Amino acid sequence: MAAATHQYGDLATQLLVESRRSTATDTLLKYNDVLVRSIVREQRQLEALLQAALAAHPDEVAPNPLLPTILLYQTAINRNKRCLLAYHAHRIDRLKDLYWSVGGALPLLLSMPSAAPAHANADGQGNAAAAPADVRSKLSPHEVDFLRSYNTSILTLRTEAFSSAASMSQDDAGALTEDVDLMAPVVKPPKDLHVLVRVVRDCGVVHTEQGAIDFRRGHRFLVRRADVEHLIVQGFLEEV
Amino acid sequence: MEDDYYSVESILAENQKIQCQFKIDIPDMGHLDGGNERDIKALSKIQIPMWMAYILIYSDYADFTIPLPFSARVRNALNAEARSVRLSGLVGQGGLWYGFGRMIMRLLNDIPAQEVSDVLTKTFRSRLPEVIDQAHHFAAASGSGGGAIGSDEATMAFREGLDGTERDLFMLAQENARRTKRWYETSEKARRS
Repeated sequence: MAAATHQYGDLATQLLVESRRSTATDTLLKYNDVLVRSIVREQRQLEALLQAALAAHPDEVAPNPLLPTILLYQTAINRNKRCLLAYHAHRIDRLKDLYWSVGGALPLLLSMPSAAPAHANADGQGNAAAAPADVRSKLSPHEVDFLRSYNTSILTLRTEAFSSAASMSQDDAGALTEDVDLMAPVVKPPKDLHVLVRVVRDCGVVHTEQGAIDFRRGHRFLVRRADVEHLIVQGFLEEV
Repeated sequence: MEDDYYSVESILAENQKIQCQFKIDIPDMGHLDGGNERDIKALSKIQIPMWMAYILIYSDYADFTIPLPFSARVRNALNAEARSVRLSGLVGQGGLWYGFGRMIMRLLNDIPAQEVSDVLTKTFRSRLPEVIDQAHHFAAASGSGGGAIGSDEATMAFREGLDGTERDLFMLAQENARRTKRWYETSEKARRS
C-alpha cells in the first residue's frame, strides 16, 4: 500500500487547519501549492486503487466482494474533494474582503510592495485598510486571475447599473458626480463637504477642484471629501 | 457549528474519531488501524474518523460504541453537577463537545438518540448561566485593572473546561459587556456636557 503510514484525508486536514489559523489570526496565508498538489496526487492514487478494485471482478452477477473497499475509496475521494473546495472557497472569501477593504483598488492590492506595510506600521496609526502586506506573493496565479475578473465584473456592474452616465450619455463629466459610488465607505455618513486629512503615505500630485495638491507624508490638508474619498479608503490619507 | 459543505469547522469536527467494530472482512484496508495487517478482519475494533464511519455504519458493515465523552460515567457526572465537568478535556483542545454529541445523536435511533439529545440540552442549559455570568465579570475584572473576582480557582477551572461552542459564547458575552460599558460611559458624558 502506498499510504501505509498515514490515513486518508490527513493531508486535507492539514490544509484546513491552515484555513482555521487564517481565520483565527485574521491574515491571508500563503497559498499552499505543495500541499494542494500532494492531495491531488493522493486523489489520483485513490482513483487508481478504486479502478483496480473494480476491474478485479468485472461484470459478475454476484456483488463484488471488494464492495466495502470500493466504498471506502470513494468516501476518501469525496472527503478530499470537500476539503480542497472548502480551502479554496475560504481563500476566495478572504480575497473578496481584502478587495473591498482597499476600495476596489486592484492594482494597489497586487503591486503592494513588501516594504509598504513596515512603512505604514512605522507611522503607528494601525490603519487596518492599509494593512495588506505583499499580497501578490501569497496568491496562486489562479487567484490573481480571479481577482482580475472579479474586478472587471464589479466595474461592469458599476458602469451599467449604477452610473447615471449610462442613461445620460450626452453629459460627460457633470453626470459622473451623481453616480452611486460602490466603493465608498458606508461606515458613517459624512457631515461635512470638506475634510481635514493627514497624509500617511506619499501619493504624489493629485488634481482636485481646487487645483493640484502634492500629498507628502506628514502634511495636512483641508480638501473636498469627494476628491480624496478613495485615497482615504486605500489608506493613503487619514482623517484628523 | 453549521453543517455547510464549505464550513471549515464542520469539516474539522468530522475528524473526531469513534470506535467501530467491524461485522465483515474488508480487504486491503488494514492500514486504517495503523498496523501491518493487510485486511480488516471481522470483529476487530478500530478507531475511525467520523467522516469515514458514516458510510460503514449506514451500510451495516460496522457497529460503533458510544464514545467516551458520552459514556455512562460522564453522563452520571453531568447529572450530578454539569458545571464541574471539563468538557474541553473530553474532546481535546478547542474541541466541540456539543457538535460531536449531535453527530453521535444522528447515528442513533429512537430512545438512545433521545437520551443523548436530553443530555446535550440539559448540560447546555445548566452551564449557560455560569458561562455568561463569568464572561461579564471577567470583562469587568480585566477592565478595571484586575480585580480579585476572576482569580477564584473554581471559576478558573470552569473556564478552562469550556468546549468550543461555549468558548465562542463566552467571547460574545464578554464583548457585549465591554460594548455596553463603553456605550454607557460615552452617552453619560454627552448628557453632562
